[in-house]
Amino acid sequence: MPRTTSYAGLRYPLYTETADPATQTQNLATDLDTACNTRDTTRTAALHRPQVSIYRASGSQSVAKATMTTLTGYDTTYYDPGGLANTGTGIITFTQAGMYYCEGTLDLSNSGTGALTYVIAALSRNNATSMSSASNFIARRNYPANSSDWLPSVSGIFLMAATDTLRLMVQWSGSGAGPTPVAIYKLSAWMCCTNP
Amino acid sequence: MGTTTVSQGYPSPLITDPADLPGQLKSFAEAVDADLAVWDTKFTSVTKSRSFRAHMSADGSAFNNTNQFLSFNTVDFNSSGFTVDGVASNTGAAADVGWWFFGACIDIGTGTGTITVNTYNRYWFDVVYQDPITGVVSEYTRYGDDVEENVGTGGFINVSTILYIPGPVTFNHVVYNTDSSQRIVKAGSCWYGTYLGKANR
Repeated sequence: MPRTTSYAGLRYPLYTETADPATQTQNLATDLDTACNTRDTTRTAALHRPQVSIYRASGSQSVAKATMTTLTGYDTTYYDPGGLANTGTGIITFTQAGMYYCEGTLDLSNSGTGALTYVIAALSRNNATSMSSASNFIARRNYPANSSDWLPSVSGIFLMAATDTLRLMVQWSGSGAGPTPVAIYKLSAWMCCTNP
Repeated sequence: MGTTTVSQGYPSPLITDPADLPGQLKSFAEAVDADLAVWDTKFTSVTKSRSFRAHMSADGSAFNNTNQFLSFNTVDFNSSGFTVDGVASNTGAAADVGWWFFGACIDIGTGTGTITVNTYNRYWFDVVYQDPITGVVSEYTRYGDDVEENVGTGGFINVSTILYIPGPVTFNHVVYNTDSSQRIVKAGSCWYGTYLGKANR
């Protein structure tokens, strides 16, 4: 039975073993090969950190009053080499755990006839619709002037696990028909680092 | 005798050395093993970066038109070198001098009293740092944001910034409103930061 090194488990023969230079050297070479390959894979992944950006360039989406609503119907994929985004549902599903910088932007016009009291733009992890101890929700709220565009952005850092999701959400309150998020909204995420 | 490789100093036998395969392979394997450990540690320190996030696990104290310091009592993770959960201010030395990204999401709710329509809430974080070389103390009130109150129900403030941090730093988080009625910062409000990279100078 060969011994192994304490960290990477590289095999080397003992003096008590039968001399077999070819096999024993090959074992060490094989272990080194595996160790290098594993690290190459890890480094390649680190150099190609998950990143995604999707955009809606045409059409619009109505949002019900007082309901935190996911924006859907993105029609443009700016960048998504990992295939993280479902443009139809507006949901980004991560495949690699880590800390992500996320941003959402939108252009919202007040198409309704009544007064608009507030609008919230939010980034939601795993479909959260309010602040929580798990820090799943980053939002911005403001009161846009009636009959004018409001172009907010919301951004922040989320700690994502593999399979976690990200959505851009909107909520409004007021009288009348309320606003319509018009055909310009974008959702992006970029991995800052692996789990801190 | 043996020899060593040029770059990493791995031991290898000379042709003239007595045959000692177990000893020679052991020396080589252990030298490589030690290097792998060092490389993995370095790599991990880079990919995990330096970052933090802290949040309030319970609603904060009521505030009105007097500046009130915030504390974020629960640290979700922190490899930044900063102290991020202080009571009145958050102090600590930067783990890495250079550029940092900071952000916050503050959820402001109603307290006692009726909020006057069209007053506003404000949050900012104030950064004080000392240049370790010159000793000069600088202070930035880098970011504020406000929510205009149309209906008096509070709201979310979302801010972010990038800052050059040259050395030990103090953060102060402050909330304020322009009304005399009370409001509170709600549980879940958080702030976060991550190291971006060294300054190019």
